[in-house]
Amino acid sequence: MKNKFLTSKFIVPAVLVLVILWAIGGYNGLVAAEETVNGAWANVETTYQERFDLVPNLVATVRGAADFEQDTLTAVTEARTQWQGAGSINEKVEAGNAFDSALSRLLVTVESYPNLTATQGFQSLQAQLEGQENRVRVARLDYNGTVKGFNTQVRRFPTNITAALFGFNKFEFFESDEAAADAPEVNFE
Amino acid sequence: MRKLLTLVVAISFALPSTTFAVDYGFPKNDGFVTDQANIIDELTERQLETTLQNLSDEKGIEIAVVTVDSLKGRPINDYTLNLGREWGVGLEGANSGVVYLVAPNERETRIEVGFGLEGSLTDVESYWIIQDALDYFRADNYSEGISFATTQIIDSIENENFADRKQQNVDEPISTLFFIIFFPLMWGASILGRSKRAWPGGIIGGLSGFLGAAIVGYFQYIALIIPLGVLIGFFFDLLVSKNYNSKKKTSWWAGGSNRHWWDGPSSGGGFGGFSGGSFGGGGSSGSW
Repeated sequence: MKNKFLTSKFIVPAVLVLVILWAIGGYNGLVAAEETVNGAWANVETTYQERFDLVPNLVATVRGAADFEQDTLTAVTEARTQWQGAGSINEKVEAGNAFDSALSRLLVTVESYPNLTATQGFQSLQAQLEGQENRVRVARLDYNGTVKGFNTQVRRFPTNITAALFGFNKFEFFESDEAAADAPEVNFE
Repeated sequence: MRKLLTLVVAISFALPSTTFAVDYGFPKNDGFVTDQANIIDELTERQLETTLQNLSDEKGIEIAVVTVDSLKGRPINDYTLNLGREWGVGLEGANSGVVYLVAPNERETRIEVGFGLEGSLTDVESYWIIQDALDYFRADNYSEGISFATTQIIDSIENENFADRKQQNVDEPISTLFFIIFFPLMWGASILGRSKRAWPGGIIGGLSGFLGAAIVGYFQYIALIIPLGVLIGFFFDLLVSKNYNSKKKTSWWAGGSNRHWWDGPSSGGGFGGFSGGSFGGGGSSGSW
């Protein structure tokens, strides 16, 4: 009887303290995870930007090679402009994917100009483009990894309560466009 | 109440972990040169090992030269990136590492450059080093090709120096974590053991888990650490309380050993491992 009284007197505040600590921990965990996602996204933007910075160089190099198809070049520059005008993550994802597919189309077209691709200058440029493409890929994978971690926290019990309470929303993944990965075949005959 | 606590703890534990590691089956690194495919002759390997050890000692730059039997069906850029990250080639924070990987069976090769060295060893630089080494590889002259490329890599980063970024090895964070959770519990065991109840141990465990996480800065895992602390504390108290009840005098936790199972295996001599550098996808690949 006496024991029961003691127990309830101790347990109720103890559990309350535990719940409060848990909520604080959950909140701080979400803040930390959100910052990780933001950092990863900033990295995606930087790597894309560095990739766009190569475009003028690419345009200059390719344009020199005789009667080059103008629309493939235009598509690349247009996608770059689209990115710069994009506001939300969704718009950027779209613009990024458009750029990826435009660039891969352009590079496939370039393949049929051996007098261009054989030059050291073009090979160096291509090494830069490939390197930057890989950086973008890695940054996107890392970003998606952090988004997955964050979204899991937001959805999972019990952090979902804290997340709802403080208005944490899920992030969008940066899904790469499958079409961009498979470069289209170009036939010149 | 005890049931409820146990239930909460059990549920928290049943939740799946958020990280899924893909198994790439990387070779075990046995120094700066890891020749799994066995294509580098003994002398060259020893020379490279010495050169790279000196480079690491003097400048804090870690170059891993790796040959593999198989890329396990993965693209070489993916494989090399993850190998570099898993091994942690380069200094932590400075990311001053390079992985030079050759896969003779796939006839592919890659130079993966850590963030900290991307300014000197650019993608273009890496590309031409790879291309030059390919001439040797086409003639099946791997030792010379790898030695040549490694020298080129070292030349290109001549002006980099990260020696001031080197730091003394700190404890593995995971053992720090366990230490922080366990220590107050072990210390409190004598006190907790005097009571018959087990729940105070759980609460103290949760508290120390929270404080521990706050100190170490593991807030993102707090939802895991606290129930872990509660669980450990709860069962610990249960254990010591039971033992108290059965009037046991000595127990394993009162023993005199300073090494514990969570300290991990003791490291022997020889290669001390890489230093925790990371990679962001810079570099270049080639095939022959």
